[in-house]
Amino acid sequence: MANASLQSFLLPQHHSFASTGGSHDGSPSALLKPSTNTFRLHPNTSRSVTTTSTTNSSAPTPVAPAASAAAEKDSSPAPSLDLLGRQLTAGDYRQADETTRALIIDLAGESARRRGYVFFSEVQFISAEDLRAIDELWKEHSNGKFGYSVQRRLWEKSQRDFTRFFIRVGWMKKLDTEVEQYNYRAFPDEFMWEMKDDTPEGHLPLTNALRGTQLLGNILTHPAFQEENQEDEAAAAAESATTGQTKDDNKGRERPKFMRDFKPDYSF
Amino acid sequence: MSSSLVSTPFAAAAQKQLLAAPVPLHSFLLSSRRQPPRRAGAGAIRCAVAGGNGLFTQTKPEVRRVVPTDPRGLPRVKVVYVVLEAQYQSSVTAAVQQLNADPRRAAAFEVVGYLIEELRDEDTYATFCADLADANVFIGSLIFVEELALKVKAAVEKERDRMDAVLVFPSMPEVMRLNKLGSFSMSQLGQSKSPFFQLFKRNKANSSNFADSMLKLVRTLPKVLKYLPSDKAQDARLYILSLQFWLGGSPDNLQNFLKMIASSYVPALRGAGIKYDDPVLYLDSGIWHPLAPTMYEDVKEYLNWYGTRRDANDRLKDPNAPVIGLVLQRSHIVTGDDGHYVAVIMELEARGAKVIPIFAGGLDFSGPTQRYLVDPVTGKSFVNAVVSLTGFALVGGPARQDHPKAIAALQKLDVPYIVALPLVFQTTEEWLNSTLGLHPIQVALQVALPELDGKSHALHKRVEQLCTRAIRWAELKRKTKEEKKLAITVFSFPPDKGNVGTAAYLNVFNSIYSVLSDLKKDGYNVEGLPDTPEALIEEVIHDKEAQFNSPNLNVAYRMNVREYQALTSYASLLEENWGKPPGHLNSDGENLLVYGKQYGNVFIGVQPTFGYEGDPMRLLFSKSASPHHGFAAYYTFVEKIFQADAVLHFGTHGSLEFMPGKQVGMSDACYPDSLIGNIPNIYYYAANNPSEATVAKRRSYANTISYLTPPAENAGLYKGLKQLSELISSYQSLKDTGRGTQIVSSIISTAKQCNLDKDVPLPEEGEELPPNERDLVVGKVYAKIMEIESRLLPCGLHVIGEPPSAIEAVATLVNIAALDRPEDGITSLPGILAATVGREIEDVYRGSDKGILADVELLRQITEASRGAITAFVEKTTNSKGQVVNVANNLSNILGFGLSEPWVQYLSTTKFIRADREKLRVLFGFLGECLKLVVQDNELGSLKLALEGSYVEPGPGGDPIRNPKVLPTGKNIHALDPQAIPTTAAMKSAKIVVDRLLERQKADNGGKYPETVALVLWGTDNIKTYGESLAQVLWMIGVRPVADTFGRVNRVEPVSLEELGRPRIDVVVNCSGVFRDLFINQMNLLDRAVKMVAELDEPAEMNYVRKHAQEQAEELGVSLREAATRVFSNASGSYSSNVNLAVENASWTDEKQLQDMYLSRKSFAFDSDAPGAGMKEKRKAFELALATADATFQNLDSSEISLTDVSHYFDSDPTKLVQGLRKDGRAPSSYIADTTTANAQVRTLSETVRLDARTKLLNPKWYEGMMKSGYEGVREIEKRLTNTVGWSATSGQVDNWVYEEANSTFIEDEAMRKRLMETNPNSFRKLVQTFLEASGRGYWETSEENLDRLRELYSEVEDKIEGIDR
Repeated sequence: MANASLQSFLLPQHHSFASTGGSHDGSPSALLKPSTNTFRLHPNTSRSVTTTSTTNSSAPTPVAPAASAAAEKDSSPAPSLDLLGRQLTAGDYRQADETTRALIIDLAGESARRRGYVFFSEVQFISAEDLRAIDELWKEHSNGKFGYSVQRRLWEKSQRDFTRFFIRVGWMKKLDTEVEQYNYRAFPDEFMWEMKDDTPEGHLPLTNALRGTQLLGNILTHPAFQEENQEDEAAAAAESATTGQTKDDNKGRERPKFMRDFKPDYSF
Repeated sequence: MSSSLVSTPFAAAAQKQLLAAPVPLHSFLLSSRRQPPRRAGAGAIRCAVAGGNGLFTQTKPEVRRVVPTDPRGLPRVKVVYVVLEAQYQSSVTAAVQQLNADPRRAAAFEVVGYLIEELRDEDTYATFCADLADANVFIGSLIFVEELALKVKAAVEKERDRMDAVLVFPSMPEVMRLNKLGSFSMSQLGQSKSPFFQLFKRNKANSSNFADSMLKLVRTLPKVLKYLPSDKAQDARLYILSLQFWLGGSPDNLQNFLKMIASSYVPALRGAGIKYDDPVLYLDSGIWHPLAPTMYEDVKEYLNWYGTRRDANDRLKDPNAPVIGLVLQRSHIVTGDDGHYVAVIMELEARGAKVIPIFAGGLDFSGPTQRYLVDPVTGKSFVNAVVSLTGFALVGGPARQDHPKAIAALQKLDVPYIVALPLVFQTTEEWLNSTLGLHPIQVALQVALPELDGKSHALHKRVEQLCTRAIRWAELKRKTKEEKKLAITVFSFPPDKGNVGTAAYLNVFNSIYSVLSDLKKDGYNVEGLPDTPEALIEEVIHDKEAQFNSPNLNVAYRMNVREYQALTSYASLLEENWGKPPGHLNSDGENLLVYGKQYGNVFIGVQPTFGYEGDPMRLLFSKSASPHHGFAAYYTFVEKIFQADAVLHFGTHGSLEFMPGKQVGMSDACYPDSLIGNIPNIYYYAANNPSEATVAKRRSYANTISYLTPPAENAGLYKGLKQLSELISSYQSLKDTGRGTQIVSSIISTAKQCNLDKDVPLPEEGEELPPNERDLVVGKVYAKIMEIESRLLPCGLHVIGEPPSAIEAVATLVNIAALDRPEDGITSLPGILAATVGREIEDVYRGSDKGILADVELLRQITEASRGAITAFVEKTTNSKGQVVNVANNLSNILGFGLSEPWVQYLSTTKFIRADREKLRVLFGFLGECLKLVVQDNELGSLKLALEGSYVEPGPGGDPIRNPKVLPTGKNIHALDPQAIPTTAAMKSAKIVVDRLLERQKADNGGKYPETVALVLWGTDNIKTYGESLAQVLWMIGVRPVADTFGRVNRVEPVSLEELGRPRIDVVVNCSGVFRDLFINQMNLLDRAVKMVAELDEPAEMNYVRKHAQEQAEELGVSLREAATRVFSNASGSYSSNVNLAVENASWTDEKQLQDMYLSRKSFAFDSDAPGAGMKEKRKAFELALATADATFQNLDSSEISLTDVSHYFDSDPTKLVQGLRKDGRAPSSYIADTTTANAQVRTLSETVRLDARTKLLNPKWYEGMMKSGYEGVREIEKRLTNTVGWSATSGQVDNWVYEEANSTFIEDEAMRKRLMETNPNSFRKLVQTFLEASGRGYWETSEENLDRLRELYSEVEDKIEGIDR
């Protein structure tokens, strides 16, 4: 039910073959310049989402009209580093997260703006400087807990396995089932928008993986975050050695009796 | 394990969506399935989480509801829509929100949408009806599920007159007729002669054409209609425009659509001056790429653009990069619901593959694939592999597919074809049809709601795997033979050295040898291949006489734990069940061991087994077990270290695809999926086992290649049985002389020696009989031995690449000729022959069954003449080497020269000289075709095609006797349309069997009908017979299937008690795990049928279903409907009762344990009232139902798989279990129906066990045939004995003499036991052990002397095995 809110999103209409509207203004991709792109995600759009999604936690509740989304779009502030900085300073991670996504789209070039999302191969067009600036802001306002470089480190520690990474940064949650299973968290309600002690490291900013993980993978492997690489690997190795150890010990103790008694009768 | 029967075939694609958990966001999407064989669609079983709310889908329509908040007194327009898939939801929602946000709006729109599957839920349906009550407009699209279509129809009909507009786009005719737009209606759909309606009528049989014609109409009609003046034409024009808007799908189009409908038909808005634009039309088909500035209709233009991409890296620009074609649905693109498409494109490009994504708006993608993926000049593909993300069959839609057309298209492409399932919201199985199959709700699906462009994560793992696999298949097309690496995987089941290389009907090592020799010639690197198959066995198993417990197979690789963990991403997940690596299995304590041997670029490896075979606790609870580290290490080695380009699983079947399908982490799939990783999987599979082949396809993404079962022979007679036959013959010539009495007493005493006294009532010896009774006794014995004599058995084991010679095919042809094939105008040979002596063959069969001597003799003559005529024919059409020369030419030569045909020549020497020549000519023409197919050798050729990345032609699996289309082998096996069964013919045969069963039970049980019959439904069985056993269940409870407009069976109706002429018999249906996977709709159908019958207001003594359900409802304190639960199977993702594993490993303590195993694994019920919930444990209901069973029953469908050939039959036999559960403690009767021959029989289980023992285990023809296959043959003999013990354990229906005779054949005979011991000491040890076990468990009473000999032998063989090892 909570996902009713999802429906209220305006679809990014990116088919340029279609004659549908969208005036695409060709404004350059400067960070500070406002964009009037119809399809860009920006804070106001998402605010309407939040509202609707919180209203419907009980029974059938109609989704509120998205009128606001359309109506407000012109007045919404353009994403900028400055805006991001202000939102982070205010501790408004929810909005900062939106702004970050919008910035990435902006930075990736005009065709990404028009489309409303970034194709993985466009990440190369984002300058290391811009990307690092965004990352610095996140780190600065989270005691080093959030940011792409933090995610990069955790991802390396997860042997670049996205499933492990998603679990690690809390983008997937454990399900309450007999067998150990994880599912993606629902956006936005199930994500953690406040920095608490138990908010996982690297939880923010979010990168949409609805279209796969290549976009995130390309951001994390962007030259902007290259240097930290080596020490990460060493740390990862060290960590896996220790955790592996503890885990094994536990396992040994917990092995059910019939397992211990199980004779290796079958060698193949 | 060997052949299995278990389940079902067919690949299906399902799209179902379950939303797991409260709200996932994003869900995921793709499950990939590979299916090169197209016919079968693809279906993937993905394991997923999914909780169930009991519906096919867990979504709620409320996410699709938009209510205007600010009506400002504006007229309100309420729209209710019902769609198949969810891709419209975001577009519709966006459109309505934009409309409501328009400051100049003249109306406020409220909208709510339903997915068709959601209407199964009563509450949702009630909400739907309530929504309709004040709706202005109804829109429906793609409603093809009959039962739901009727619900929609009922609800909409009530409001239709009041509503302002009703718009239904392509759907079943019943729903289409609801259309109403002003004066335009489709109420005459199907009746009117107008061309418009003819369109629907003509095409109703083929929905792909239907949809395409509709699209064509959409394109052309409006132009014409625009200029027509009348109001009626105006309304029709608006309908067409509506369809254009709808198919155009974008929020803008939908806004204009709603504006148009509102302003034209909502009274309050007429004249409000609402303006709308014409629909924006998109290409019907073309090439689309998210980065491209436009859609392309020309692949060259697309590639030009591709070459100019600024974002592309060097890898992508490499002219040698693999090229993957994607097939997409247009509606996802126009509605913007394309996240999963974009994900796949990105993933492929990131992995260095070029992508050509094509789309089409219709349901026939074959045209676009030709147009955009094949170079018109050279006829070559532009692509190396094709991946379909449509979720549909290539040709066809929700209703019916055109497979031949799809196959033709794919053959032209000649590249691997992979079908991935987009898990879009959707319905499920019912509408997916056949070949596409469907599937499982339950467990199996992943779900996802790709609705949002939010920040979520898609099923990233699935996307990655799909893309990697597609590229790997594409690589097969590009790599040279010399560099390709192939991992051949053989099985060892049960785990014992004597069993390495187990596969049903297949001589595995000889086959591998033959395959490798051939590949070597073809240019593959098979360096160091030994000179003989025997040497190959030696090298792989190192020392076949070595001790069994030591790691004595050849070790191909030692993988240290660190390496294993680094390369196996899911290794830590296995620790819960197996502790930390390396564990005990496939391990030397420090390293994980991979057994096998490498020759050049070919690795022959031994697949590890489940690992818990010897552990009763595990067998009981293995539901949640996982593969062990050794198992994982094997596949890790193959993929990451050996780096196979393809893996070839050799023969039917291994354990990979039966690994538990529990998911671990949403992103990871089930174990079979993790294990096989990304390696292209090719699987040699027995042609007669389409059901399990389908499991292999679905669960391990295998491209199967069918192989022939060995040629069948008649069992013949031996020893005492042979003497009997001679005695009977002399009786017939001498009976009227004074010697008659004497001969009869010899017959009686010989029959007793042969233990026939249990099968035929024999008088005391010396008893004086009147002549006619003498005839009857002799006739009955005669009928029995003829039955034994003519039984078909596959002799020996098949070798790939060695088709049978023509003469070896005779017995098969005789059986093919014994069936009437009215659809082809073919009369059976016995039928033709019987007619020459003025008899109906059915009548002769009946007489023979009764033991009427003259009829038995006539039947024997007919059989003999059939064999003679066919032998004469085969001899004439084969050359001196025993190969078939061109049959058709030869026939015409024969005819051309005016000579009489060979069969006529032969028959002229018999009493059947006057047989109908024309009928014979038709029949033999058909047999000639069959003969050609039988001896064709495509098995090696198809493997080479698969290895080269070419398309392997699909074909049905099944029994070549019933369905010669199974031939030639070498095809990618598929099954049939699950919704096509049961067929009318199957229903007809089912009635005969059920009637015979009930008669038999009445005769054995004091004239009383059984109140309940407990029976088993097998996947393979139902595929081969087109649903006969399913039909049997329906007939027992007295219902008949009703087909819908598209010929799909989705409904049943009761047969009246008058027509039935007997009470409705209650049933307990045990569905095999494979049946459950493949025929979930039929389980649904059965459960509905049972519940319907229980609710009929009929007297209890005429309706046992109702009677028992009422009792059970009371006892369990549940409703009658819930008590009427009769359809059971394993939990989702689990197979078999594991009783077979326990018996095969002798790892059980007592029968109670086996019964507990059966109950705990088989008591999962299917509930048609909550079909999405999957299988739910209802053990109490299962026990109560079984407790009422008076009879247990199974079907034998084909001659090559009989009771003791496989472990599956006894695995599912509940006879002793029922006895334990019954209040009176009485053993139920147990029956086996035998439909393997034209004359169907119902025998008791013990009769069948005896027949099986006589024709196989104890028959020199059979065991000598097996011994010819050497090593593997010994194992086959041992397996029959083990399976016999299984029957003792589950049913107690095995006679002592069976063990006694087996002992004298294999143990007492010194020469024989030496041969066995030398050929395969491990299997021989198991044989000896099984004899001792049979005695120890009390199933065999024998002399101490026999037992002593066995004990001695056991230690002897043990010493031999161990001694050599040390």
